[in-house]
Amino acid sequence: MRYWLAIFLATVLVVAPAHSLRAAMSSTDYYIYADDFSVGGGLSSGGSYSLQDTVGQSPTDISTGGSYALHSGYQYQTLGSISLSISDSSLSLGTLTSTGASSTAATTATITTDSATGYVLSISNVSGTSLAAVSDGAVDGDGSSEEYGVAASGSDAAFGTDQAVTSSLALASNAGAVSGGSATILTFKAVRGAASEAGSKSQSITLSAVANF
Amino acid sequence: MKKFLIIILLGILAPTLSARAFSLSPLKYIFSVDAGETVSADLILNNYESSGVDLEPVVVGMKADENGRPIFDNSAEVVAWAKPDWNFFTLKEGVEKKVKFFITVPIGTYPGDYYLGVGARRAADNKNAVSIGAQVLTVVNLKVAGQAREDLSVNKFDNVSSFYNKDKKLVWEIKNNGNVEMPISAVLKIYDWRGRLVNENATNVGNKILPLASRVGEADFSPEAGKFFWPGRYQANLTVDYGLTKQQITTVKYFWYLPGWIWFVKGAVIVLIIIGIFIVRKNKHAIK
Repeated sequence: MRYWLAIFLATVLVVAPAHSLRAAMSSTDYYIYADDFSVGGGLSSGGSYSLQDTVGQSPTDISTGGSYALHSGYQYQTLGSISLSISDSSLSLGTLTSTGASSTAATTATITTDSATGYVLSISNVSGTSLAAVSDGAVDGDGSSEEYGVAASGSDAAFGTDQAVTSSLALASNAGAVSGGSATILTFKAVRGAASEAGSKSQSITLSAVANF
Repeated sequence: MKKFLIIILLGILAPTLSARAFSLSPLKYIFSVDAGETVSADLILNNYESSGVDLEPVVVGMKADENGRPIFDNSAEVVAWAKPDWNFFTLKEGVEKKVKFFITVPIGTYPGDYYLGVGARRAADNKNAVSIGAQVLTVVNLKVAGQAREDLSVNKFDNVSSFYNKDKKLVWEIKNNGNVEMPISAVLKIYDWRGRLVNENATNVGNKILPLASRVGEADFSPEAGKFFWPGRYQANLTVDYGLTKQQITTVKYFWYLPGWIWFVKGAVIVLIIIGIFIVRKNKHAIK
């Protein structure tokens, strides 16, 4: 009995990689931790993360016919950080007194991230009141109509014309890391029209920064 | 000497600290979970500004736009799954703070991939014509255990360039009809009317496509420089490889290449034929 137990223990210690007994593994790009870990599991790697599978089970059991079984119990993190700074969070467009003359105000949004898939800067929330949204790509009061929109400039800017300020509007993006920071200048523009009603307009916008999928 | 070194170090670090504002890590979480299970997403917030920043928790639903970029979907059911263990607080300058979001997948949730963003928001102050708030998010991908189904369709594959232009532009749209995200890649092949392969190139469709998401794009084809491109009918094959189950789908589109000079050739041929018929008839009459 003791003989067979000794053989079993020796086999286990030889086969099991030492790192599978640790609670967590890490690398410069990823951090893995599992709810349960078993002797005999191993790492398979590829892409930007690694996956630890337990004995006799993998996160996916691949079969034919376009389907497979998805198992629970695995967790991964993609290490890294993302930051967003805004140079001026309160912009005044002044008083619009004459038609055809646009008023502008600008701020700079700077993203810094080491995400290998890059980032997207977008508008996530819009509330309040504003003039009519621009629809022709230029806030210039063409045709004596009121217009309001935003322009983006910078190496990562997502568009080159004036766009309506709407939720989910992508303002800037990059497919790779921007560890030194990427600045996008957002210029808000407004022009009154001949039929514009007098009054005050105030809009609140939330800029959102997130790593690409 | 020590004070001098400290001053130098601060001088080096200070611009970096103020330039980064407030940050969030990690970038992404992936959880494979059972329906009914609760997981915890632990985040780290850092304030690099020169003053305190007021932060509140934020949870948003996420999906992909037609270019594969993340966009927000606040009506998504996943928004209700996540609850922060913290409320509004002021993160002082130079301070790091750990926060949690508990995410509970409801019992009976359909298997597959779900996406949400969790993070922190600095609210807009609502004081001016345009008030701007800022938020940073960690992407959370929940893989709910069960049957994963991989299914992709090509909903559009058209030639949008004119028939007399030998540089062709083909537009395509693919859709993930399954319940899990899939790795994808594609190749465009061009065959002439005799079935010979004229051109083959990888087409950029992105690296992966989320469930129920569509992806659109263009594939350009130009004849090989220095090689004569024959007029006629061509066949374009778009082959997309997708999924962990290694499936493939191929879509075919035919297009014509008829340059301007071909019409002169055709016209000349028709004229010659007419002249030929006229001569033959004239000769027949002469014999009679």
